[in-house]
Amino acid sequence: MSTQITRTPFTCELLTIRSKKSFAEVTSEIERLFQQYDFDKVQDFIRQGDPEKLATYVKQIGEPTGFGIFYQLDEGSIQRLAGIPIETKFYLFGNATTAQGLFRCSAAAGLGAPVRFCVSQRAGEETRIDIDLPTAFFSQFPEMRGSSVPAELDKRMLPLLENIAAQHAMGYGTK
Amino acid sequence: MTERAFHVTSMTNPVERITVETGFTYEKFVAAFEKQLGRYDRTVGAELVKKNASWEEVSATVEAMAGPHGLMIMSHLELGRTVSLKGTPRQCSLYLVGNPLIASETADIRAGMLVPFRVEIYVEENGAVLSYDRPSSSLASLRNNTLNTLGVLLDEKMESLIASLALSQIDPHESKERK
Repeated sequence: MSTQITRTPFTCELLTIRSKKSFAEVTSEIERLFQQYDFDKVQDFIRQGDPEKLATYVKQIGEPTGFGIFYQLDEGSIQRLAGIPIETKFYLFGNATTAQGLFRCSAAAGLGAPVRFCVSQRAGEETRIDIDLPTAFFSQFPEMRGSSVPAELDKRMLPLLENIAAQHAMGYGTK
Repeated sequence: MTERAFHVTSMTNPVERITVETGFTYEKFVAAFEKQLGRYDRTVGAELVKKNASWEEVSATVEAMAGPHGLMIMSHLELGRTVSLKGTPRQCSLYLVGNPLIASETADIRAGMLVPFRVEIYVEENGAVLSYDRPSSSLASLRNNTLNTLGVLLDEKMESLIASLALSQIDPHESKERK
């Protein structure tokens, strides 16, 4: 393999939203609000060569917020077996149609889209939601400078997570 | 007025992105990459949790899932077709790579955001490209010595993986000529 390795420094911005709700309340609200992509279905649509069905499915999964969960991992369950008293759940979420705008600019967009966030709580402490700020994450790509998608993600995703973290559930009229 | 009992803080940190232009076709490179990594079996993981397995049993079971470099694919998303929708199909795979045993060496709750870490393989003009954010650079932002050590360990594992891929006997005739 004739490899060529490039190292590119950039600056990330990690946002932390702290909530007085429990880990279970926050994660159950997230999973109630955001539907989960079923990749077996996605693969079926791809195999059938039916982009219309796939686009309709992506739209359905995005209801009501515009975003769906691509992947989730309960990291805390294994860590608790090691005697570490924490709850941690990792999510990748986004919208496949919106992501098209990023992938049109750069094939490397997959390191930032879908967007990752993590909900965690140590016993006796507040619940926290950590998320990469999309505008900061994508700012390293010169090809993305003309794209409005990262700013749109900041504007639409963060209020959803802030509302979930708030003491009382608020409206989700985000579209 | 609705009480908004949450608060938001932000922190900026320098990260280093590693981009490896391989010169190989996407399909060949993806196959070689996956061969160098183990796979995390979520069903087995869930069973361990359900029966509240001893750490000894967890360690032995999860260790067996790791590949030759001590890393495993926690998840693989074939992003290319999904984000292409009606457009020209792209070749692009996103992997979450890590090792739950390594992650369990820290009690720092913030690490869950950064490990497992993302590795992307996509296609550019000269063939498959592998890209990831160097784990030690991401974890350094948390200013925790244990995490710094874990970050360096993960860096080394990725470097070992890349070196193996560079030396591997992927059919050289499948490699695209560099322009």
